[in-house]
Amino acid sequence: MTDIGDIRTLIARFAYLRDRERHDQWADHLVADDFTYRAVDDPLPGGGGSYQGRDEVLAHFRAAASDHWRATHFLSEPVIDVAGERAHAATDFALLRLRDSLPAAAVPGAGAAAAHADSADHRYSADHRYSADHRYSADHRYEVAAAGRYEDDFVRDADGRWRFAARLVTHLPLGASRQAGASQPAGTEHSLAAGSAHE
Amino acid sequence: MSDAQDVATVLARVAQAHGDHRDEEWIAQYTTETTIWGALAEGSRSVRALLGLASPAESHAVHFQSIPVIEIDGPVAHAWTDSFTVSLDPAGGFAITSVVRLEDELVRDGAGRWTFARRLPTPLLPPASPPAGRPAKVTGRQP
Repeated sequence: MTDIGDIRTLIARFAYLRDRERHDQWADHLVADDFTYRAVDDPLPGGGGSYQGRDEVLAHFRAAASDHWRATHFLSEPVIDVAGERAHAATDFALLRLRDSLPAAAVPGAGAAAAHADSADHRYSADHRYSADHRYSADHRYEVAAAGRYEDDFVRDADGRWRFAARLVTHLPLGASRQAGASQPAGTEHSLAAGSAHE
Repeated sequence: MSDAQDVATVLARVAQAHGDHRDEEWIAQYTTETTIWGALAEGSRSVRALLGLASPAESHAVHFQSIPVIEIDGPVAHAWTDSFTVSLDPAGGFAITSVVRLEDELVRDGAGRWTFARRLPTPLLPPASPPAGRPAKVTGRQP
């Protein structure tokens, strides 16, 4: 595979493992020892911050582990630039989750508790699974919890594999959504522009 | 094009054809004996019965898929993809009507074409206890 193909798969695999909370695997195989992670304007509690080094980043994600699949990151096609042994990628994302902020009684349609039981049961049975799932889905219990862009830096290690060196997560600032002409958060303008310092 | 790119294209083609209700097109991407949800679907009618039951809420829908994680092992490919569906909301606007993880196994036939041999969709649902005597998770190979 090409460098760009390898990096594209690396980005997808990181999202796959993170969403499934298999944190040890991405920490062991996908990131450099001095991997840094910074999140700006994360609307989720405890989501923001800056972390230095694989162990510190790993501890951050482990602390947020829920043991339940509640959300999935969807990624756009990344824009990848390779320069020798380093590379940079910009990837837009959206985090979709169950809309659990609504009390069950507020969900239109059939009773939520019955829908839980029916859907879970149909998931394991042989007939009409999609019908059951869509019946539940028609209640519109999904929402976009966050969206933004990943700015990733990569290094090619001695073994020839690409690994994450740094990730900057810039979220769409929910607080600015009501302000006309909301501007980007200070200090992140460069990361969203073409020809950024990450390249 | 590489095998991984070919497989990615098949995944995207099926998602689009499914959303457009081009049934014969997406069903043709499955082998004559495909395992879906752990059940063997023999023939296109069975595949349609297991995967093609669109609800009225999804009569107009677009299926978005994540960048797939694909592993090729000779004539067999495994792919892990996340998918969500945007549908027209009867009350107006759009609604996300499903979030699903897809685990796929594809095989390369004699003509070099990749087709589905196994598909395991797992919808994102609120946590619920599995029925007694059944596994808490239905999982296959992991990347």
